[in-house]
Amino acid sequence: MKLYGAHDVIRAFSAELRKGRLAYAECNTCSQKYLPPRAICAICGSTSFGIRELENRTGVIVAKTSVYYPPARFSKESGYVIAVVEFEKGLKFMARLRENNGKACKVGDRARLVIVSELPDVYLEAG
Amino acid sequence: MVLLNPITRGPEVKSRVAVVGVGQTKFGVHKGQALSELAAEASFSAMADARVDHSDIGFVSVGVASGSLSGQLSPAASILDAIGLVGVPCQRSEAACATGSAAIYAAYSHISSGLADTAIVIGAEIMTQVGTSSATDYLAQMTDSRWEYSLGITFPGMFALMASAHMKEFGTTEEDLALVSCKNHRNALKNEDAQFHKTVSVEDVLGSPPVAPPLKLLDCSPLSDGAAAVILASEEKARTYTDTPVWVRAIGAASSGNLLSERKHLSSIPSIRLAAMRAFQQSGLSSRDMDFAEVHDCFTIAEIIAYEELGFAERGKGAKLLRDGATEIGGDIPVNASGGLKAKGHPLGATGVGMVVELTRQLRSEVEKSRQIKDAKVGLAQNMGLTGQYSYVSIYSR
Repeated sequence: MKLYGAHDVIRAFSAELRKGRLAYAECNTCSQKYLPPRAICAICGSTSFGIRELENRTGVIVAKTSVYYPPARFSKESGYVIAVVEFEKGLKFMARLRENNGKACKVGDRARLVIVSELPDVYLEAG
Repeated sequence: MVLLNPITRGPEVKSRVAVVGVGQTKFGVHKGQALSELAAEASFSAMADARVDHSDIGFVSVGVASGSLSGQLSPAASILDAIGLVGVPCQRSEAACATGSAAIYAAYSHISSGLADTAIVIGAEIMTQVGTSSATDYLAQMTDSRWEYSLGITFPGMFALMASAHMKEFGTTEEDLALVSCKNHRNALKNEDAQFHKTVSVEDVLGSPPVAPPLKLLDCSPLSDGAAAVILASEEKARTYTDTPVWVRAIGAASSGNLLSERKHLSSIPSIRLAAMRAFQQSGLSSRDMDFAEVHDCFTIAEIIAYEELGFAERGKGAKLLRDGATEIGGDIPVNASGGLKAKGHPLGATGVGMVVELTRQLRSEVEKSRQIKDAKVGLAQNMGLTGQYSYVSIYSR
């Protein structure tokens, strides 16, 4: 059994991203899945996890908005799109969404998570 | 996500707890005022209302959500000074937009356990003195720094994500959202302490500038300055102050995971349901027993979800309850007769305390006649922090 501290989990997640892989954690006790991975299970309190790869990085947009009144430090980018995508196994992830050629997509459309390098350099691409 | 320990036992109550005095400032823009000055105004008003002896107060519970917004970090000490209660045990609670309820919970715990006989709860916030862009930033910093704030998400953005999911799942429309704003502005028109005194039409809401689609400016509660205070007392002590105490029947508290994306349904706020279940369990009452409610309409979608989580409507049927007029003053379950966060205003730390001021005044038949709930005996307050990471549902009665 490997015991991860909270920061070890983030490092493991980032290391996987650098290799182009999206990792999630599965609780070895109750099978609850976490994206991003975490160090302690919110369901059963277990600290024993398997770190697995989510192979299919295309999912369905379940929520979407654009930010027109951004926080001060994002003010130059106003209008950016943020979405939550649901992948297989019910795993969801929030990220910036790039819509193809400015064509707006909607909740229910598909989007793919693109990994540029490590955090925070990941984004969702419509279609 | 399933939650740990769905049922918690109620407190081992050594004494029932009563509200014996309430006070608040107007909510709105208080230019040039310090946080402690606003807090003192509300406190003196509550102490005068209770006719409480200064020396009787055994605990000071302060609720201020953000030091950055007012420029007064660790604000409890300055407030203590301004109300002349130096030497009395004092602490500040913080639970984002549920900060006021967290402060009430701390005082309630002190009294129900016998640690104090009388306590003052002071909720206060200054939000208009740093400018919208900085205020938005300070508030957004309350989201998860690594996974949410880093994307540039804001609170309107968070609730817009939830609104988009609710609309897709249940067919809720932008007009439905607008109706929340119209109702609450209509109610605030009759509330002297409210920030806004203007009617707003569905067209006004739909035509207001997009903040985070589907939410527009008039779907969002404003930045507000303001303070509210309540005096809580043990049953024995309460009888010495007043013949008409308002009883704290239950305070249900709950929490949830920090990441919005981890929620099973983005259209729901399970911690509200959990807090409500605990409050109903403690009081032996149900949602059907409530004569009226004040709910946390930080954004219009939040009021519709609150109807569903509190059991006033089935899941997905919140908008229908609103369209049927059930939540209007005079309806089956009037909601936000004060104008709510949307139109009464939302000075974070004062909001949860202000809800108790409103409930108390309604239960004592002391609000403006045109918005008085007839024969109000039992009322509910629902206050949450962030997107429901902190939840409080409390029940008060005559």
